[in-house]
Amino acid sequence: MSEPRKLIDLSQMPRAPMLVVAGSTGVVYRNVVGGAARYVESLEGILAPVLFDDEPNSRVRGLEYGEGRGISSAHRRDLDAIFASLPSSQFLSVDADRLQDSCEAWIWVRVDTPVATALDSSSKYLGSIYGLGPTTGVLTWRRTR
Amino acid sequence: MIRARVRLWGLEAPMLVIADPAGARYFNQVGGTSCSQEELQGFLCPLDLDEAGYERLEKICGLPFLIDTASISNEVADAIDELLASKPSTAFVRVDRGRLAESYEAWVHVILEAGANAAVPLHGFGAARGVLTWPNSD
Repeated sequence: MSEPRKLIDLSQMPRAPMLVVAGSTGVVYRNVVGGAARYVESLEGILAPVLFDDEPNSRVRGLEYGEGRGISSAHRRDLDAIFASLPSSQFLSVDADRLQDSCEAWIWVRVDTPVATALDSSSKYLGSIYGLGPTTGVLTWRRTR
Repeated sequence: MIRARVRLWGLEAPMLVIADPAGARYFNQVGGTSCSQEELQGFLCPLDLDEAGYERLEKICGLPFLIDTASISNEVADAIDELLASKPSTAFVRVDRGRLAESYEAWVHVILEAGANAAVPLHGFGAARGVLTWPNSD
């Protein structure tokens, strides 16, 4: 991994959840998450929009995540159902191996995008990211409390 | 460096792409009904423009200064700069007057001078260039 020297703070991000895709870019995205716990989390990579409608955005943000670190398998099931219901987010799934590292506004996910960077009009893929194949990242949003 | 392209058609609010060869290639549909495709390699960054600020930005670009494929005028650039200068957290962004001819509705080239201002979202980039982009009106 390269040594990150540049930082982008996400506390002013739009309300919609966005995706930080992990990668050696030299830029770290940082957010304050975890509800009242106010954990400062960061991840090196790139930032991308993912959910393009208000209703699923509200559903993701509105789940009861509880206090502290860790989300449950029920959270995983609910989030995966939201991702699967939208053409724009079907390339996401909650990372089952990182439930304990996730919390409100900081959800570890698996990301599976086309390997090609060119848009393919014959493809059913409607996600926002192209060119990475399978990788990991974090779904994050502006803390509500 | 990361080999990725990212589509910005569904942005909820105006955001910055900070030009940087180590970042992803961000592309958006811009220029009103001309639906031009523009792309810049860099890093996506939030901007502290609230709903009222976004509405004002849309109105600025809806003025008669700007018609579809026309690039933005000095009058539009003045109005955008006035909006950005109105808050400490956005005053580090100003329109790049040297690139007005390549700037359109929803895709405005900007100069970023964050310095050590704690109110701004980016740190460690120094003087940078980029674009201010938002959902196209088409």
